[in-house]
Amino acid sequence: MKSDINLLLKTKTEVAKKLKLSGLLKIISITSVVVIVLLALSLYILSRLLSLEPIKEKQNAVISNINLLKNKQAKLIIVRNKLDNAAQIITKRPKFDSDIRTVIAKVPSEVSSQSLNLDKQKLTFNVASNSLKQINDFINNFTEMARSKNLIQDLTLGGVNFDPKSGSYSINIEGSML
Amino acid sequence: MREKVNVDAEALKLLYKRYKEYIVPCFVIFICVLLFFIVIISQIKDLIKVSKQRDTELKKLEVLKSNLNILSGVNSSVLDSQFDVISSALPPNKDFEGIITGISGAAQRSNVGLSDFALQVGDLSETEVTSGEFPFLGIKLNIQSSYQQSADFITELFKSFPLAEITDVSLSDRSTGISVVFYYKPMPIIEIDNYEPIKTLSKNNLDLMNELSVWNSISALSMPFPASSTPSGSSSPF
Repeated sequence: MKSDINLLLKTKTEVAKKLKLSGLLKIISITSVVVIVLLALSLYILSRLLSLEPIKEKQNAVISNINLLKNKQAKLIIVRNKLDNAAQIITKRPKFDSDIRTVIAKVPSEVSSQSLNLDKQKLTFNVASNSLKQINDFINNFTEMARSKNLIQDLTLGGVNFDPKSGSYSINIEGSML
Repeated sequence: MREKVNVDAEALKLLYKRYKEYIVPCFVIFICVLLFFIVIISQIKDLIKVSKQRDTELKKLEVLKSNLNILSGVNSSVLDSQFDVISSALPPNKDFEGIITGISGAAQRSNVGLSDFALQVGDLSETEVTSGEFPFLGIKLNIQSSYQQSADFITELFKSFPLAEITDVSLSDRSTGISVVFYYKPMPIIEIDNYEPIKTLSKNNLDLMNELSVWNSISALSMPFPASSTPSGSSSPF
């Protein structure tokens, strides 16, 4: 017995296919509309929720409170600014007081200081003594200072003079400041 | 045999009626796709942009709140005293009185007698120079003192207000010549941006402020400069 006989007419199967297709299209179109509407609605609600207005209002409220403290704010800024400036000045100014003490400490007891000039670049020192040994100690002390880069970085000996009247030797040294 | 069909209004109507159940849903789907790409996607982009803006604004709000908290927490009297101290250390203009008081106080504290230094008043106006960002007044001092006293005097001068810097020192047996510059700093033009975070005083700032306060209190204990005791002070402009 034949079992593959199609009893429906060919046109009827086509109609069924068409109905199925149109049904599917309807479902897709309705779903599309629903999705679009839902999306639009969600976006509208989100945009309302993310509105900047309430934040701006809060900002303005805080700013109006800060404005009441403007004087304080200005003073704080000035204090900070001037403190930074003061720190800069204090840090960069040469410490001539400690330099003088350092230099004095290096002068042997029997050597007298005649003159000492200090500026940012150089140190010039004139000393006198009756003892050449003390002058020698003085030169050694300052040579050591230059070698150890203590206050000066080099040393120039100006020459030794002898005053026959007083019987004292005087010496002049010059060094570049660190 | 198929008829020839003219594509005119009648034919379109016929076609529409015949395929209506396909055409309408297809058209709806097409419109929905168009709406999605044209409207929805641009709305999503806008929303992302707004969300970023919101984050920025929220951060600004946090900065504002933090600024308000900082300013509310600053003790006015402490700030005023800090302002006074730093204004003495670095005055907004040429503080002649402060300079003379500073020199006088330093001389007293270092045991250099008041009659032992001469203030070249003429230099006050002549040596006004601006170096870098700090304007200053230059003064040449001559003090009668030993080396040790000169060092002490400079130490004390460093602790006096306005802030001073020694540019050169010439010491001889009994006298010392010192070139000093006293700094001042005009008040800066302050442009306050509310959205800029306010910085409080750092630890270094506070340490320096404490040091300056100590110097200020030491200076305050010094006697004021007596006009009669300046060897060359007869032409004092104050």
